[in-house]
Amino acid sequence: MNLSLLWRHTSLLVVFTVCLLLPFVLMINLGIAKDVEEYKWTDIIGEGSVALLTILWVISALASRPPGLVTRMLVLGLSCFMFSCLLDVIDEFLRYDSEHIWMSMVESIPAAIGMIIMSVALYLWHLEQLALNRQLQRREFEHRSFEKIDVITQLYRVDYWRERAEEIQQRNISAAIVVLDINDFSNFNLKFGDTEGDRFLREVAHLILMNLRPMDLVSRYAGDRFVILLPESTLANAVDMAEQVENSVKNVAFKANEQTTAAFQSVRTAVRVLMPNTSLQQCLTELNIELDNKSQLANSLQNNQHKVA
Amino acid sequence: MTYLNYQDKYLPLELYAATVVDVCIARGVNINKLLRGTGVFKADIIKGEHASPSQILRLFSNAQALTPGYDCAFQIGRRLAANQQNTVMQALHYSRSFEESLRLVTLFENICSPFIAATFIKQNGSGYWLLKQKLGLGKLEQFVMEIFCTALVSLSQHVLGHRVKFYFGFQWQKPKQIQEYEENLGYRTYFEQPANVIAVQWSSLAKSNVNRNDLLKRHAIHKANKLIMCKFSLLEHVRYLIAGSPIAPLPQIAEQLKTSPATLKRKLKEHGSSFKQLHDEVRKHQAIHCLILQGLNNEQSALLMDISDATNFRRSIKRWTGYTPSELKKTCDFLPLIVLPS
Repeated sequence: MNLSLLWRHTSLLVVFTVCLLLPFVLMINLGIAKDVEEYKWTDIIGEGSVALLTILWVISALASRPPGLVTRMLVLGLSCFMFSCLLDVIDEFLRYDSEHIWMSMVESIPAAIGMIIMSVALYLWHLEQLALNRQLQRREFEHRSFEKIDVITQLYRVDYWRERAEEIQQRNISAAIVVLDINDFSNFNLKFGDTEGDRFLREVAHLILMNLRPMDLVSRYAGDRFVILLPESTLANAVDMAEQVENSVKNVAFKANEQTTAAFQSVRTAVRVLMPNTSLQQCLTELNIELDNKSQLANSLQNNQHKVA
Repeated sequence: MTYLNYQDKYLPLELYAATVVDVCIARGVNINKLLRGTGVFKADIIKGEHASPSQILRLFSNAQALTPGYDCAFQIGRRLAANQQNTVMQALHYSRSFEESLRLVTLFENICSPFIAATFIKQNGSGYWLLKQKLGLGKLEQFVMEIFCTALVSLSQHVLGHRVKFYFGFQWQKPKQIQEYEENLGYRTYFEQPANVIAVQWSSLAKSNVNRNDLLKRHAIHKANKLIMCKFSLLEHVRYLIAGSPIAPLPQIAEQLKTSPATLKRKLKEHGSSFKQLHDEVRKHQAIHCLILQGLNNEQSALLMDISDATNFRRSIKRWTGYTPSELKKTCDFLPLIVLPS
């Protein structure tokens, strides 16, 4: 578990700690110890585990979310709930004396308040998710599986893409497929190093995203190759789109290793329409081979130019 | 008798560990977790110390387990081929031709390819490598083979400026991550083959190196000279002896190695292998050599392989390769390569 986010919530950590310690302080001051014979073990185990898990929830909420309104309300609500749970557990060991018997009446009120706060927080979380979904458009398609995200480009890996493409085929929707490959990328890696190569891949991923329609999906195929799914697109539109991506990559002045001189890189694309009844794998293979042939063509052209020069 | 051991420290960390660490860190792996249990420390890499095969294998297995995605082995292979920190690798990069690079790989075999041994067969203008494990790799076999093959393709790219068209036959099934094979090895990959094999048209290797620099190459070889080790692993020793006398039983081989049959059995087990396994493998490779690569018929092959009669031959081939001679030819139909007259 990565705990780096945890330490950014200073004020919430204080609230959490107060809610964690206050029940103990209150009960030790106001209560009288019960005899061991009075302990009800089933209650202790039941209520104890609820309290313990609530503590874990608060910590995981703090560790996984950046500071903000939703986080604040979630942690606040959970902390109130935890406060009541802790009082519940501790009064299995202690009894209120007669003048503080009112405590047992009010001990569940913080839980109720906490639940209300959490309900509001969940509604806000829902709104937040909708906003994030819009941000993730073109990276993701009606389905979320974080374990399939490629760490280098932050796009999904091709198995996710394949599943979505097959889904589209099953729904009898035709789609265009674009496969895109960076020209001479191994030389780029040699020249600028693999770290810069990875960064360039990330930049290309961004560029492709900017050129897509909201319903399209781009994923990383392997190495320096990307695949794009364009549902309900015609071949002509897809070819246009591919050309636009080629143009925008061509015009990027990439500054490698903080140099001021720019490196220009180009990409080549291959386009095909995927009909509902064609084999996806075969279509992909054909596209890939087409791309490889284009690269050989470019190489031989270059060699010829050298010879002429 | 001396042979290479899992524990001998001769693998340069700046070549192996640095590459693995680079690939994994770029994919968000924690370096301490990656090095855990390997006995390799960051300081060792900085100082340029050496590690044993068992340490590097541990590192591979950590890398495989911790790295998300499917490209770990392929990226390691690519970067191993691009690494020019190591003097041996420098020599490969400045060679006269790709053919010479490969010859240097053979010369510095224990540095360049510590885990995979390759028998080279030249036949009718084509070159074939039958791949074998030098040390028992266990579950890492596929991972290490992927590294080896990707490094070979990448090396050709660096040396010639374009990729050589290799043909790859692998024993395992067509994997889910086929896109990595396509991207890194090309489309000429064949799965569920009787042996791991690489094939290539000889003419494509003899092309000259785009970075050729004779002086720098000789300097690199001079510096790397002390790294040449004429030592083989136990598995290779035993394979060699079996190939020499294929009907010799274990005690006879043990005698030739000046050890007892029980010790040999135990040692082979430590290497994740057994006498029978090695024997079957040697015979399988011989069968592929005769029947497929040389294109001999059953009688000729039987004669060469020292098998007395035809029925016995068919049965033996089936036992060693899993296929009868005719099935074998069908399964390996991408071999032998047909060389078109240029």
